[in-house]
Amino acid sequence: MAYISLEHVNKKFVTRRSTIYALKDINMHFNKGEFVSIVGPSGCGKSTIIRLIDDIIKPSSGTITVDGFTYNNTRPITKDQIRKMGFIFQVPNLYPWLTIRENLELPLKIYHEDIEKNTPHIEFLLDYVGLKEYADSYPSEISGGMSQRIGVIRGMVHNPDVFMMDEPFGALDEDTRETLNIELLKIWKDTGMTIIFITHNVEEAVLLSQRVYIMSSHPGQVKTEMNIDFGGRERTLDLITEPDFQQYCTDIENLIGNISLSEIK
Amino acid sequence: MEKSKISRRIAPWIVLIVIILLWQWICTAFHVSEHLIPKPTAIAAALHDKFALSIWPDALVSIRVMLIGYVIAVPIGFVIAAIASQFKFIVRMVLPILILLMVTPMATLVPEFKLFLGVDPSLKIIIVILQVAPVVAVNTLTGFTYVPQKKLDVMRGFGCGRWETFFRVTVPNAMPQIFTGLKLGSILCTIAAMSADLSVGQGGLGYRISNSAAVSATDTAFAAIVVAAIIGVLFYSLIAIIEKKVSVWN
Repeated sequence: MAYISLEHVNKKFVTRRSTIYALKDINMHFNKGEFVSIVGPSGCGKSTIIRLIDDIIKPSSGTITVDGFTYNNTRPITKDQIRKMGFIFQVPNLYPWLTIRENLELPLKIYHEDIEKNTPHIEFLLDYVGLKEYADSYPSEISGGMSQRIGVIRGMVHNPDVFMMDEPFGALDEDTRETLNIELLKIWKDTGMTIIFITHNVEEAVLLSQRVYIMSSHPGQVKTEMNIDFGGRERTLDLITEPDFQQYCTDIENLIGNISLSEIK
Repeated sequence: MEKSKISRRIAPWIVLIVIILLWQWICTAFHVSEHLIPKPTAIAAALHDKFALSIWPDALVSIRVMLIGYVIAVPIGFVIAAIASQFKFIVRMVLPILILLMVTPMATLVPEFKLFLGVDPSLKIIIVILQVAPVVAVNTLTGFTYVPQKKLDVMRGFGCGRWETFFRVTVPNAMPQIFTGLKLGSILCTIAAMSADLSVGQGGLGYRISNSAAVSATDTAFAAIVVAAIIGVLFYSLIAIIEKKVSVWN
């Protein structure tokens, strides 16, 4: 059975002037330990999907199941269930009034965990992303790439099973983005986490994921899904020039492209 | 760099000294009556002569009123802002009233209060509270209301409820506005206490000022005004220093 599944999920946003159908009849599943990307044109509701899973917003209808616990717009998710998930935002969203260390301790405080017992874990994570000496700095004192690294490990301090990442490196320059993508693959391999990765960058999706959901917009729907398999080859930046990598990218881009074209018609 | 820093520090004092010298010179050169505008030297003399006897005891009365009033008003302002901020319709309901209260000079209501309380000693404190609480509430409420959605989403992502989010994010995020309210409150606190002295009587610097002026002891009145101003500045500075200590991240 899938670790996370969405069944017939709909989401509409009602404003004073109109009703926007953001997601229509979404059915998705994510297996334990799987790295899955969701790609699609902007406005297709791909971010909305993980926001629904993490209970940042509620679905209009349909059910979501995480690790056997089902919730919907009437049955709320519990803090214990949310604890299994870590959410990485498009911008790091660190709190400027807390030091880096305090930002990392925040999830532990929220989940009433022993800070002292977890200090080695925090030190390990800081070391892992090479920012140990910045532990007592404030977010305003470090660069955007560093902040996003901290944003990523903040999602890890409470040892979640699932990582939901909303275009996590989209705001960074190309070099930093590539570095962080490789670091993310390392984290995924080291931890065996389930990762749901939102991006509009097709290359990124192909490089990182085992499976890609391709969405169309207005309203947001799942167009199709595609398995990405490179045999035994390791996923590194060298892979980008390989023909099968290029083929995957072209296929996905065509699917997204066709979707937008058919919409224009 | 060091030099410009020093000159920036000194500049305001030089302006102040020039004004005082000019004041002294005009009073002397044009033979201005001591009862109209006393010379700075006369004010200094009055300050020296009357300080221990009358000005300082009256200052203590005012300071007591200010501090008690402020300490009661600030939590009231916070609680109003905290509750109102959690419910959009309450914000719309209370904000105009708070602003109305904020701009009403409370000392003008003294005659009305006297009808109910007589000349109760706590009357002055009530005036200070009524003057300070609204300005603290309005500014704090502004800070509590405009929290970037992204900062709130992080807490939702952790499964935090309304009040946990409030204390962990909304309050620290609103620190600049909270301190704006506290600083404006400290200014209004001084003004309210002095004007309460004027209309209530029963000691206090405001009372000393009007009493001295009434018997043409203008030099004493000015000396008391100087002390009132210094108290106001010190109070404001104290809050500003606390702000710097608390908001180390800026």
